[in-house]
Amino acid sequence: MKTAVAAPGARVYRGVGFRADLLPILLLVVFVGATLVGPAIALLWNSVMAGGHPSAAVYARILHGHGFRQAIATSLLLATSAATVGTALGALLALTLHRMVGERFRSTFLALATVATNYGGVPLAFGFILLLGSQGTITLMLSALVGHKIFVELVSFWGLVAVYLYFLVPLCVLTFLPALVALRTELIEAAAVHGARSYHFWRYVGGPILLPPLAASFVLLFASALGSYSTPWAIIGGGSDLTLMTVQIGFLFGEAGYDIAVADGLAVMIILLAAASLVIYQVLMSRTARWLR
Amino acid sequence: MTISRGVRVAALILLGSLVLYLVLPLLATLLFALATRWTTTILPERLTATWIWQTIRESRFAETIRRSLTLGGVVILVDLVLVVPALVVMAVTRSRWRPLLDAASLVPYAMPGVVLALALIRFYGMVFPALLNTPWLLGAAHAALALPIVYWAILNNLKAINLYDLYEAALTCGARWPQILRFVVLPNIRTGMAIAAVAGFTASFTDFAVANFVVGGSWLTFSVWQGYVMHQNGHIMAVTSVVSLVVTMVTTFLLIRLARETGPAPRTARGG
Repeated sequence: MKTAVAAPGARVYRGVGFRADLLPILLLVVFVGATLVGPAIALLWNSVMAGGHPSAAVYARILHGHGFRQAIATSLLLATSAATVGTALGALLALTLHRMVGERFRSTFLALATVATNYGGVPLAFGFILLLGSQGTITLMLSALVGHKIFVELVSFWGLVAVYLYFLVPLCVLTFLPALVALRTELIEAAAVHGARSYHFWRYVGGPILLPPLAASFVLLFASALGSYSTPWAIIGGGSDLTLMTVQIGFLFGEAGYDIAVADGLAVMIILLAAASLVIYQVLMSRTARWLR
Repeated sequence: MTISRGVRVAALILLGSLVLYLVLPLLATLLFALATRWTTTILPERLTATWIWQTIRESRFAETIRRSLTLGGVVILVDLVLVVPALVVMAVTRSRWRPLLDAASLVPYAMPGVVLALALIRFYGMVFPALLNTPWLLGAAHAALALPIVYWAILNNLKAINLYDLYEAALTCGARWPQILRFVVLPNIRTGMAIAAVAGFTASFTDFAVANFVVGGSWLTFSVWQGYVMHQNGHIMAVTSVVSLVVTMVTTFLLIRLARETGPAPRTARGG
């Protein structure tokens, strides 16, 4: 960016050192403050204050409450499992799209992947219920195949992982595929000229180049899975012991409303985890950018 | 390094399986929207358009679609009015503000829908309770939700056109700010604004979590109505899901077309 010059028409308020061209920037900053930062600080404040004094009572209640502890553990395990499987499958598919298919198929697939990442929430959950619910098509097909009724447990940990993969795998493909440009043909050829076998190439060249964007995709998938609400809400409903942090927050302040302070505490935990994921993602992507220049 | 036949076959089988995995829930939803009855059989017994007509006749259908479309339009307008002038000023005279604005634009990613809704309700419950349960608060929430998409779409476009040089050339020709904005800036960032508008609209239209808590039943949006319908009538739910799918497909198609002019399409997804 070049050295800034004063904009024409930018009114200077003498003595205050304020220029009118700063107004649009301040307006945006105020909007972010009023809709995001201020409310987030309010959550934090509510969660660490009790009766006008600083207190860790809310967090103590969360950590001692069996249901809350279980929700945290399930959320973290679910986000980690879904992100791990999603990253592994997404990376393999991105490599396949990069090396083995034509431009036309790749474009069509990427359009489908973009639709899948955007088509989440309640309609997606409904589609899976139609397939894997107790009367779902796949459930009936499998039952007909084996000759007795089979129950595919959609309202379960792995059931949720299976549904999450619907938007996580395409998300990984869309974020990881651009990074594969760094795997230049010259690098592959240079390694081959020096006698490197497939293992050596991936161990010393391809792996180190692709590890940061792969880790970045994992972090993105983890944050996406951790913050999901509408899909698990629609799948789990009210009739299961399976519970997640986001679903608990919705239950505590939306439906039950009996312990809003705990909802504040759980929300602060999610903000901290998501913010940490965002920082790690940015660091990893800046490392990836070096290879893409 | 050549790829062995076995690896190639395995990779293509994996790719085919994922395509099937992505298409099947959509196909099942479409079939259920057209099925007379589909409870104990593998495929629907017969097909009908009855559910489509019944959904269209539902008073809530037109009402919620109208609300969601209006809300999406307002969200686009608010975000563009906030972001475009701020980024234009930043690009030409206030480059030192870039790190702060970049950071501000990423804040929504640290606040998933349900957390954003809780935060807004708790905050405005303390400072301005009259705003609770109003479409105004939902509009502000959705504008915040779509902010990163709009911000990065406009910023990428501004980078691509090298606004500073255009600005200096316009100054040399004696143009003033209103003229520079109208004849130099806006025509050159049309594509970025279109991408921001389509992606921002999708984020607002498909949101369930924020709308469900911020306004809920008091000002039903299309997505929240879907959540209610799901427990009442599966066939109508299927028809509304097809509407969501069509909206997602149309906006995706538009984004891909627009992105060909500037760069990769922005993602609107925030997870389910």
